[in-house]
Amino acid sequence: MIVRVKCFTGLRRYAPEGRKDFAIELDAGARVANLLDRLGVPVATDLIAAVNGRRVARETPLQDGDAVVLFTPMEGG
Amino acid sequence: MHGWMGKILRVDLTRGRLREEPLEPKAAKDFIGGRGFGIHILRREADPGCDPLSAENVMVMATGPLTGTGAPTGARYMIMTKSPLTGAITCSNAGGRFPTELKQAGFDALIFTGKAEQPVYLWIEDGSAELRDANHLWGKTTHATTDMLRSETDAKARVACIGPAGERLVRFAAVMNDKDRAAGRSGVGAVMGSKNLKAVVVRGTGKVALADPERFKAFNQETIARFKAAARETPLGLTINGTAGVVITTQHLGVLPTKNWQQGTFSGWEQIHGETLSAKYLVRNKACYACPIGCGRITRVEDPVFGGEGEGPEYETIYAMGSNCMVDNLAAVIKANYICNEQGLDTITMGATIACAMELVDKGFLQEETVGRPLAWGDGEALVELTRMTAAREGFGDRLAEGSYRLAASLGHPELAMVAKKQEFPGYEPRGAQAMGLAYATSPIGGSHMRGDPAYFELFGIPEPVDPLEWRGKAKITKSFQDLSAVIDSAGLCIFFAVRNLAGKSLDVPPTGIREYLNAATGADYTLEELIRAGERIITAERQFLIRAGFSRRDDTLPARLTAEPLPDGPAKGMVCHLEEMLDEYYREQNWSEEGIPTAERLAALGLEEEGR
Ligand code: SF4
Repeated sequence: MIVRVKCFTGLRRYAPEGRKDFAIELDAGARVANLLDRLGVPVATDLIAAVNGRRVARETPLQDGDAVVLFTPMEGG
Repeated sequence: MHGWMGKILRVDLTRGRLREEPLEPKAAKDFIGGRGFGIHILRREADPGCDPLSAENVMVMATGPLTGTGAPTGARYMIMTKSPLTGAITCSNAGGRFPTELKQAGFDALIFTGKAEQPVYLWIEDGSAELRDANHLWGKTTHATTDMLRSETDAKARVACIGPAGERLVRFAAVMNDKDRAAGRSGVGAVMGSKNLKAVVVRGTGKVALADPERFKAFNQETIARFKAAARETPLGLTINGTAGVVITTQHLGVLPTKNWQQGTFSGWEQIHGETLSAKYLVRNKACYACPIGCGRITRVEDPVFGGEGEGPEYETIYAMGSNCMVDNLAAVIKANYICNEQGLDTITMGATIACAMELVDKGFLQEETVGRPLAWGDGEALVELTRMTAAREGFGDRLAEGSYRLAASLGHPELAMVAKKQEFPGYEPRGAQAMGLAYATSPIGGSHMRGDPAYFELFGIPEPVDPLEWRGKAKITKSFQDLSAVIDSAGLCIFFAVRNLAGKSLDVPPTGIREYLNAATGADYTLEELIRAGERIITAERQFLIRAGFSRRDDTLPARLTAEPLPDGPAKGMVCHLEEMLDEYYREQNWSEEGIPTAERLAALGLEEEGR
């Protein structure tokens, strides 16, 4: 299956060629954690994953065509 | 004394008299400094029922014991007075370099009473102080005022001043220090203007003495090393994109207020977020005194209409003037921000008031002829022009200068003002972040999150992620964060560093690291319990002031839009904010009555029963 991924700010460095927006092929049944693994994001990294506009846990399974957004939680006020 | 300078300067503007007073050690320990000193002084000296813009109002500028010590982000001061926007208290703080200079000049706090007959400024130089004529500065921008004052006093002096907006008593005028740092909210600038006080200028060459310099240094090195190691692991968004980076978080969690809070996501968000800001306009970062983060933005815009150079914007400005007005032109937002800095205006209330006017026009409750120009959603030129007119109270700007509540109420539609206690909200939608609604409704200054920021646990996952859509159990966590904020604001620290680095990693956020710093700096030997109690004391004393000013549960509210209209879009679609449910739980946590009034036993336990008027 293929998912579309957007990485922001602190996570841009894990995107292929530093691209903001890319598609990636994953095995059927892959979870968010598998995607992070494929991109080489260390497990300890503080991040938020949103799939199709919903914040999800790392164990959440992905579906073909999902839009995944990854970003470090940015604080401020 | 150590940490504290041990001196307060009292300025009677009516009589032109200055008097130094010693800081009482017990009050210092019980109220810490900054925000705590502010309420300690106001509750004894200010009439909660007074007209905020009259000579009767009292204004306090107070630093904390960690200000100027070199503790990370120990750079802040607090301005507390009765607010002309809300009728409640203010709690406006800022960093930069001015607060540290004030301590180096020998003072913990300044108390202003009365009203000067003519415009004056206060000049403080290493322990001595005088009031000087400021007629030649009246009408000048904050930048021009700062430059002129430095050339007539000392090139190294630090300045906090008001701009034309404060002089004209715009209800949300700011006090600006070091040119572009704002004690922005609740109209503290208008209070200064009403007292004919144009500026406070300080030069200090002293040092803040530490009780245990060795212990302070060791803890400081350890803290900075930990901070740096964590920043290597996950680069800090605040350093890279400033607070503007938060747009990415709020947009994706559906809590980016848009179209005067009619939506929780903005289609034009990619044009206004922190990465766009960094790529197109950032010149360099700027840090307050002793800050390892450096979230400040020096920016430059090359544009025939919106060009300029200055500081900003912060996330809050981008929400208020950007998504909330549906303006996706970041250059226009930045231009309006520059005008606010130079004229001395709060960007949040300015943007939110224009958004409210846009909805009033859209719904047919306000005619464009009255405004004097077209005012459609997304009109960046209107944003800039109306900001300028507000500072000058020119034409329709005179009505905007009263804030969104008074504007909307004067047209018969107060429900369109997105406010709590008549103060406009910062940029987090409570329907998608429930505790935020509770924080807005219970904040002593009205619509604000900085007095206990649930965004940390609901949106940023610090110290641990909590479901933003759940409302049960939120009261307890919100109270803990409010208590922590009271300690941070009183110690003289910046919330952006302290919450992550100086509090325990559990949801009751004990101020463990702050305690270490405070004890090494002051020698006051706070137990953790005493420090938490001090936070509760400050919050309860503020509440007591509000009750005396006539506030109660019926003022701890949110607009019906947030509690009765389901959010139409984004991840929090279909949600309302469950304020009433959280409020009952919150009062119980505070040990306040069902009407939100602190109980006699609570007051006694915190030592608040005696004083106060
Ligand atoms: S984090 Fe930002 S606001 Fe806070 S002290 Fe540092 S530069 Fe100033």
